[in-house]
Amino acid sequence: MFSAVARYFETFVVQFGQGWNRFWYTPRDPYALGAIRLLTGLIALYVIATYTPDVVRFFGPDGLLVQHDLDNGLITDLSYSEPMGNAQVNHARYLLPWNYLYWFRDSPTGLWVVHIAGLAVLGLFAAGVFSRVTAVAALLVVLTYIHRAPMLTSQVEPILSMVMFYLCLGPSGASFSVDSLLAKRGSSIPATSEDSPFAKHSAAATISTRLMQVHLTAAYAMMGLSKLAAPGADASVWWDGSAVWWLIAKPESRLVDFTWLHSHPYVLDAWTQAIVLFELGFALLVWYRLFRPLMLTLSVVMWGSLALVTGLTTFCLMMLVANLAFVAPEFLRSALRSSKPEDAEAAARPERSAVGQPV
Amino acid sequence: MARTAISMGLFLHLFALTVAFASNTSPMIIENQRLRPDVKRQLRQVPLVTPYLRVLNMDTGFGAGNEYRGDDFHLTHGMQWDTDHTVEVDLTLADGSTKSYVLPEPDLEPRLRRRRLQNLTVRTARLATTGNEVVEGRLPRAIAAHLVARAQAETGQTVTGGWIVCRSHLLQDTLAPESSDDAVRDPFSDQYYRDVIAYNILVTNGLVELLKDESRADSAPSTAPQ
Repeated sequence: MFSAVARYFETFVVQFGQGWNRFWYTPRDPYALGAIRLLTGLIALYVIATYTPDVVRFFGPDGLLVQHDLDNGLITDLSYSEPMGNAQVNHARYLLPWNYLYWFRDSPTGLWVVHIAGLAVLGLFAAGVFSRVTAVAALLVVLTYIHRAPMLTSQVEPILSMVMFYLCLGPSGASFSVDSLLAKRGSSIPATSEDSPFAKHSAAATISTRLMQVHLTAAYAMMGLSKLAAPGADASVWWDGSAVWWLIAKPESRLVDFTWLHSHPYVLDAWTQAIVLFELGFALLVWYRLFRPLMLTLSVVMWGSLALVTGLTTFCLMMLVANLAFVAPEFLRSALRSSKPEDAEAAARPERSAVGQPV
Repeated sequence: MARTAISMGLFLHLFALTVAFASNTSPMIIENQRLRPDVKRQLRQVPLVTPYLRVLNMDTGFGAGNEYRGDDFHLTHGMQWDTDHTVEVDLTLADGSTKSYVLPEPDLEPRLRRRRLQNLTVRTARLATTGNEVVEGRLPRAIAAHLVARAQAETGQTVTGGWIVCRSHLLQDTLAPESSDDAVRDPFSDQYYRDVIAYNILVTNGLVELLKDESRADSAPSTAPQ
């Protein structure tokens, strides 16, 4: 009996180790990572560029968010404080002094200089110039704006910073980048070819992609669960099917007026339930090759429709970009090349599932 | 050896993520009252985990969100702070005239700029529910001080006083669009607005102070007024 249990645990440890190594370290084509970098870089550039008309208004002298008691009160005492035992540990003390926007709160010129420098960094990151360096620098730029004014952030920032962090870990400049164009100059091998030196499979690309996948699916699950976890028993709008109506009924937020659906309660109910089901289902089913194309296609419908209803266009777009972590690089590569039958065949080849077995 | 070190790093990162996801699911609204079960609270006390998550902006407030941040992934719970809000400021100038501001400005483009100010006004409304007068006045005072300085710069006159109010734009229920009453059918009619919190603005020696106007504040409980 004892030996059987010992044997089980021995097998368990060995197989878990093999599965772990296969999941995290099987070399992967970084092609899709380059596409994610390009699109994420453009979104980050857009998000930070929209601060431009307000950069002094928010962070400058007499700005909306530079009052002494706000800096020392709201941000320091509340936004980043955390009860630990009997004490209140203040994390903002570590963050705010290192925030370069905070350093220039008394200097509009300084604010403009660092803001434009930040935009330049994001532009270089999107273009894939010195990708290894600019990926880290771009993340710092985005985190600076988030930490300077957390009360201005919305749903897009956590997803954006998450993807940007993982892009720092992999060779995100291996495709769709100036880096790759410069490297292949003189080479007769097309950049989109699997023989290109920049298409070299790497474990770093796998780690970056896998972390993105794991984090993203956890976020999907949490989005679904947070909808069901209403703060009061009488406020369960995601349970009673009315949540989509309450989104539609926000006149200042929505992109398209769907209030004509008021006379179609079944549609509103079905739409509400579909959103929750999709979010919970995506977290699980996207790991299976059979369901992956379906879930990715549904995600376009889901985030597209949510963008129209909520007006959260940037967030919905960012979720779609993050979903690219689940698109096989081979598929993306073949989709962007002239469609040859053998390419389509290669694209259809099964990618190994999360547990390392072809499903 | 390198792979072992990377695996250790992955394990630590995934542990931190697990803490973030597990400890941000409470449906309690008020951060200060968020009653995390002990195990989750203990997990957050593992050295460096919470600062690591905060620095990387990965301590995402799922559940009912966080009144200080706009990462409300539930999108709506049909609560008052799930509606659109405005902050309206009327300032009295030295010559007796008034200067008015509304945040967010309705014609602000691109929409992300408006969304950002919308988040600020929603945070202002949510802080008003904390029951802590010091906390709930911080954002209104910052907004008022900014707008007083702006008004003085724009008009060249001294601001002597005024008021600031945060208003919630309540939502129509599904029956409202069919109502025979124009005021009920129009989502912008006065009956769909509630004052969440209001202050008189006092400007003395260039310093802006707020005095809460209890008579105007009306924390309406829910969405549809009907």
